[in-house]
Amino acid sequence: MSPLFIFTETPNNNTQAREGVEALLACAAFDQKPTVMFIDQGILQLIPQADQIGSKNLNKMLQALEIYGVESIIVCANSLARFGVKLAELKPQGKLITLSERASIIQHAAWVACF
Amino acid sequence: MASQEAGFFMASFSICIKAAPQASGAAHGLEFAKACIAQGHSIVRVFFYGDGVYLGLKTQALPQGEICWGKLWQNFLVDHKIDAVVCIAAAVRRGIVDAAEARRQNLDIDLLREGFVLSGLGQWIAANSTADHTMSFG
Repeated sequence: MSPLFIFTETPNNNTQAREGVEALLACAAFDQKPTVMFIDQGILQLIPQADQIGSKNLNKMLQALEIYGVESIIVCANSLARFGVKLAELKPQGKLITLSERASIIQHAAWVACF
Repeated sequence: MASQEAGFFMASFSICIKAAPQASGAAHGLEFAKACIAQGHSIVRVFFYGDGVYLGLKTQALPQGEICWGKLWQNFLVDHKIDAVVCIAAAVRRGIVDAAEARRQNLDIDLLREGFVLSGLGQWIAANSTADHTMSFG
Protein backbone atom coordinates (compact mmCIF):
# COMPACT_ATOMS: atom_id res chain seq x y z
CA MET A 1 0.00 0.00 0.00
CA SER A 2 1.38 3.38 -0.97
CA PRO A 3 0.41 6.96 -0.08
CA LEU A 4 -2.05 8.71 -2.39
CA PHE A 5 -1.97 12.40 -3.23
CA ILE A 6 -5.12 13.88 -4.76
CA PHE A 7 -4.75 17.20 -6.55
CA THR A 8 -7.96 19.16 -7.03
CA GLU A 9 -6.85 22.77 -7.41
CA THR A 10 -6.18 24.99 -10.41
CA PRO A 11 -2.44 25.55 -10.95
CA ASN A 12 -2.13 29.29 -10.25
CA ASN A 13 -5.03 30.20 -8.00
CA ASN A 14 -3.06 30.11 -4.76
CA THR A 15 -0.12 28.24 -3.24
CA GLN A 16 -2.12 25.07 -2.57
CA ALA A 17 -1.25 23.30 -5.83
CA ARG A 18 2.43 24.18 -5.45
CA GLU A 19 2.58 23.07 -1.82
CA GLY A 20 0.86 19.86 -2.82
CA VAL A 21 3.59 19.15 -5.36
CA GLU A 22 6.26 19.96 -2.75
CA ALA A 23 4.66 17.52 -0.30
CA LEU A 24 4.44 14.88 -3.03
CA LEU A 25 8.13 15.30 -3.90
CA ALA A 26 9.08 15.07 -0.21
CA CYS A 27 7.09 11.85 0.05
CA ALA A 28 8.87 10.42 -3.01
CA ALA A 29 12.23 11.50 -1.56
CA PHE A 30 11.49 9.32 1.47
CA ASP A 31 11.06 6.38 -0.88
CA GLN A 32 7.35 5.98 -0.19
CA LYS A 33 6.42 5.42 -3.85
CA PRO A 34 3.42 7.76 -3.80
CA THR A 35 0.62 7.72 -6.34
CA VAL A 36 -0.76 11.03 -7.56
CA MET A 37 -4.33 11.43 -8.77
CA PHE A 38 -5.58 14.48 -10.66
CA ILE A 39 -9.31 15.13 -10.36
CA ASP A 40 -11.78 17.98 -10.90
CA GLN A 41 -9.98 21.28 -11.61
CA GLY A 42 -6.72 19.55 -10.65
CA ILE A 43 -6.46 18.14 -14.18
CA LEU A 44 -5.74 21.70 -15.36
CA GLN A 45 -2.34 21.42 -13.66
CA LEU A 46 -1.40 18.90 -16.36
CA ILE A 47 -1.93 21.30 -19.27
CA PRO A 48 1.42 22.84 -20.29
CA GLN A 49 1.36 26.51 -19.32
CA ALA A 50 3.23 29.64 -20.25
CA ASP A 51 5.52 30.86 -17.48
CA GLN A 52 3.61 33.05 -15.02
CA ILE A 53 5.17 36.28 -13.87
CA GLY A 54 6.83 35.82 -10.51
CA SER A 55 6.27 32.13 -10.01
CA LYS A 56 7.88 28.90 -11.07
CA ASN A 57 6.08 26.94 -13.77
CA LEU A 58 4.15 24.27 -11.90
CA ASN A 59 3.55 22.14 -14.98
CA LYS A 60 7.30 21.88 -15.59
CA MET A 61 7.68 20.51 -12.06
CA LEU A 62 4.96 17.96 -12.82
CA GLN A 63 6.73 16.92 -16.02
CA ALA A 64 9.73 16.00 -13.87
CA LEU A 65 7.76 13.84 -11.42
CA GLU A 66 9.05 10.58 -12.85
CA ILE A 67 12.65 11.66 -12.33
CA TYR A 68 11.83 12.23 -8.66
CA GLY A 69 10.36 8.76 -8.22
CA VAL A 70 6.65 9.47 -8.71
CA GLU A 71 5.87 6.82 -11.27
CA SER A 72 2.17 6.35 -10.73
CA ILE A 73 0.25 9.29 -12.19
CA ILE A 74 -3.48 8.87 -12.71
CA VAL A 75 -6.10 11.14 -14.22
CA CYS A 76 -9.87 11.03 -13.80
CA ALA A 77 -11.55 10.53 -17.19
CA ASN A 78 -14.78 12.17 -15.97
CA SER A 79 -12.92 15.33 -14.98
CA LEU A 80 -11.20 15.48 -18.38
CA ALA A 81 -14.57 15.14 -20.12
CA ARG A 82 -16.10 17.82 -17.90
CA PHE A 83 -13.44 20.33 -18.92
CA GLY A 84 -13.34 19.17 -22.56
CA VAL A 85 -9.66 18.28 -22.30
CA LYS A 86 -8.11 15.37 -24.21
CA LEU A 87 -5.50 13.06 -22.71
CA ALA A 88 -3.12 13.94 -25.56
CA GLU A 89 -3.11 17.58 -24.37
CA LEU A 90 -1.70 16.61 -20.99
CA LYS A 91 1.89 16.57 -19.87
CA PRO A 92 2.65 14.25 -18.18
CA GLN A 93 -0.18 12.15 -19.60
CA GLY A 94 -0.81 9.69 -16.80
CA LYS A 95 -3.21 6.78 -16.77
CA LEU A 96 -6.94 7.34 -17.28
CA ILE A 97 -9.30 5.99 -14.63
CA THR A 98 -13.07 5.89 -14.22
CA LEU A 99 -15.04 7.12 -11.21
CA SER A 100 -15.42 3.63 -9.76
CA GLU A 101 -11.69 2.95 -10.09
CA ARG A 102 -11.09 6.24 -8.36
CA ALA A 103 -13.02 5.05 -5.30
CA SER A 104 -11.14 1.78 -5.13
CA ILE A 105 -7.75 3.48 -5.42
CA ILE A 106 -8.61 5.78 -2.51
CA GLN A 107 -9.80 2.79 -0.50
CA HIS A 108 -6.55 0.90 -1.01
CA ALA A 109 -4.12 3.73 -0.25
CA ALA A 110 -1.93 3.61 2.85
CA TRP A 111 -2.99 7.20 3.54
CA VAL A 112 -4.46 10.03 1.51
CA ALA A 113 -3.50 13.69 1.23
CA CYS A 114 -5.65 16.17 -0.67
CA PHE A 115 -4.38 19.42 -2.12
CA MET B 1 -15.81 4.36 28.50
CA ALA B 2 -15.77 0.89 27.04
CA SER B 3 -13.37 1.79 24.26
CA GLN B 4 -10.79 2.97 26.78
CA GLU B 5 -11.08 -0.07 28.99
CA ALA B 6 -10.82 -2.46 26.10
CA GLY B 7 -7.57 -0.85 25.00
CA PHE B 8 -7.38 -2.43 21.58
CA PHE B 9 -9.86 0.10 20.19
CA MET B 10 -7.31 2.80 20.73
CA ALA B 11 -5.82 4.22 17.59
CA SER B 12 -3.07 6.66 16.75
CA PHE B 13 -3.63 9.68 14.53
CA SER B 14 -1.47 11.90 12.37
CA ILE B 15 -3.18 15.25 11.89
CA CYS B 16 -2.36 17.85 9.26
CA ILE B 17 -3.79 21.37 9.46
CA LYS B 18 -3.73 23.35 6.22
CA ALA B 19 -6.44 25.83 7.16
CA ALA B 20 -5.66 29.44 8.07
CA PRO B 21 -6.52 30.44 11.68
CA GLN B 22 -9.84 32.05 10.73
CA ALA B 23 -10.89 29.25 8.38
CA SER B 24 -13.19 26.54 9.66
CA GLY B 25 -10.56 23.79 9.26
CA ALA B 26 -8.49 25.26 12.10
CA ALA B 27 -11.45 24.95 14.46
CA HIS B 28 -12.68 21.58 13.19
CA GLY B 29 -9.15 20.17 13.39
CA LEU B 30 -8.83 21.28 17.00
CA GLU B 31 -12.21 19.83 17.94
CA PHE B 32 -11.25 16.56 16.26
CA ALA B 33 -7.90 16.46 18.05
CA LYS B 34 -9.57 17.15 21.40
CA ALA B 35 -12.09 14.36 20.74
CA CYS B 36 -9.24 11.95 19.93
CA ILE B 37 -7.58 12.59 23.27
CA ALA B 38 -10.90 12.59 25.16
CA GLN B 39 -11.66 9.12 23.83
CA GLY B 40 -8.27 7.74 24.74
CA HIS B 41 -6.67 7.75 21.30
CA SER B 42 -3.22 9.15 20.72
CA ILE B 43 -1.90 11.80 18.36
CA VAL B 44 1.50 11.02 16.85
CA ARG B 45 2.00 14.55 15.59
CA VAL B 46 0.13 17.62 14.40
CA PHE B 47 1.72 19.01 11.27
CA PHE B 48 0.92 22.57 10.20
CA TYR B 49 1.19 23.15 6.47
CA GLY B 50 0.00 25.74 3.94
CA ASP B 51 -1.83 28.62 5.61
CA GLY B 52 -2.10 26.43 8.72
CA VAL B 53 1.40 27.62 9.66
CA TYR B 54 -0.17 30.92 10.78
CA LEU B 55 -1.54 29.02 13.80
CA GLY B 56 2.04 28.94 15.08
CA LEU B 57 2.55 32.71 14.68
CA LYS B 58 2.67 34.33 18.10
CA THR B 59 2.25 37.93 17.00
CA GLN B 60 -1.32 37.47 15.89
CA ALA B 61 -3.60 39.63 18.06
CA LEU B 62 -7.34 39.58 17.52
CA PRO B 63 -9.96 42.17 18.39
CA GLN B 64 -11.88 41.58 21.59
CA GLY B 65 -14.59 38.97 21.25
CA GLU B 66 -12.84 37.06 18.49
CA ILE B 67 -11.23 33.69 19.08
CA CYS B 68 -7.49 33.25 18.66
CA TRP B 69 -7.30 29.71 17.30
CA GLY B 70 -3.52 29.71 17.38
CA LYS B 71 -3.61 30.29 21.14
CA LEU B 72 -6.23 27.55 21.61
CA TRP B 73 -4.15 25.13 19.56
CA GLN B 74 -1.08 26.05 21.61
CA ASN B 75 -2.91 25.44 24.91
CA PHE B 76 -4.14 22.07 23.70
CA LEU B 77 -0.79 20.94 22.30
CA VAL B 78 1.17 22.03 25.37
CA ASP B 79 -1.36 20.61 27.86
CA HIS B 80 -1.21 17.20 26.20
CA LYS B 81 2.48 17.35 25.26
CA ILE B 82 1.68 16.69 21.61
CA ASP B 83 4.43 17.03 19.04
CA ALA B 84 3.57 20.10 16.94
CA VAL B 85 5.58 20.71 13.80
CA VAL B 86 5.24 23.75 11.56
CA CYS B 87 6.49 23.14 8.03
CA ILE B 88 9.63 25.22 7.67
CA ALA B 89 9.25 25.82 3.94
CA ALA B 90 5.61 26.90 4.22
CA ALA B 91 6.39 29.06 7.29
CA VAL B 92 9.41 30.87 5.95
CA ARG B 93 7.72 31.76 2.66
CA ARG B 94 5.00 33.40 4.79
CA GLY B 95 7.47 35.23 7.02
CA ILE B 96 7.15 33.03 10.09
CA VAL B 97 10.54 32.32 11.65
CA ASP B 98 11.78 30.85 14.90
CA ALA B 99 14.91 32.21 16.62
CA ALA B 100 17.28 29.95 14.67
CA GLU B 101 15.76 30.73 11.28
CA ALA B 102 15.70 34.45 12.13
CA ARG B 103 19.43 34.34 12.93
CA ARG B 104 20.07 32.93 9.48
CA GLN B 105 18.33 36.01 8.12
CA ASN B 106 20.31 38.29 10.50
CA LEU B 107 17.21 39.14 12.51
CA ASP B 108 16.82 39.10 16.26
CA ILE B 109 13.25 37.86 16.50
CA ASP B 110 11.32 34.69 17.26
CA LEU B 111 7.79 34.58 15.89
CA LEU B 112 6.94 30.99 16.68
CA ARG B 113 4.64 30.10 19.56
CA GLU B 114 6.12 28.06 22.36
CA GLY B 115 5.26 24.39 21.92
CA PHE B 116 5.65 24.52 18.14
CA VAL B 117 8.83 23.64 16.26
CA LEU B 118 9.88 24.37 12.69
CA SER B 119 10.83 21.28 10.72
CA GLY B 120 10.50 19.66 7.33
CA LEU B 121 7.85 17.73 5.43
CA GLY B 122 9.67 14.53 6.38
CA GLN B 123 8.10 14.87 9.84
CA TRP B 124 4.65 14.71 8.27
CA ILE B 125 5.53 11.74 6.06
CA ALA B 126 7.02 9.89 9.04
CA ALA B 127 3.94 10.57 11.20
CA ASN B 128 1.62 9.36 8.43
CA SER B 129 3.63 6.16 8.08
CA THR B 130 3.56 5.53 11.83
CA ALA B 131 -0.05 6.44 12.65
CA ASP B 132 -3.07 4.19 12.19
CA HIS B 133 -5.00 7.05 10.62
CA THR B 134 -4.12 10.21 8.73
CA MET B 135 -6.45 13.18 8.93
CA SER B 136 -6.16 16.57 7.32
CA PHE B 137 -8.16 19.75 7.72
CA GLY B 138 -8.39 22.69 5.36
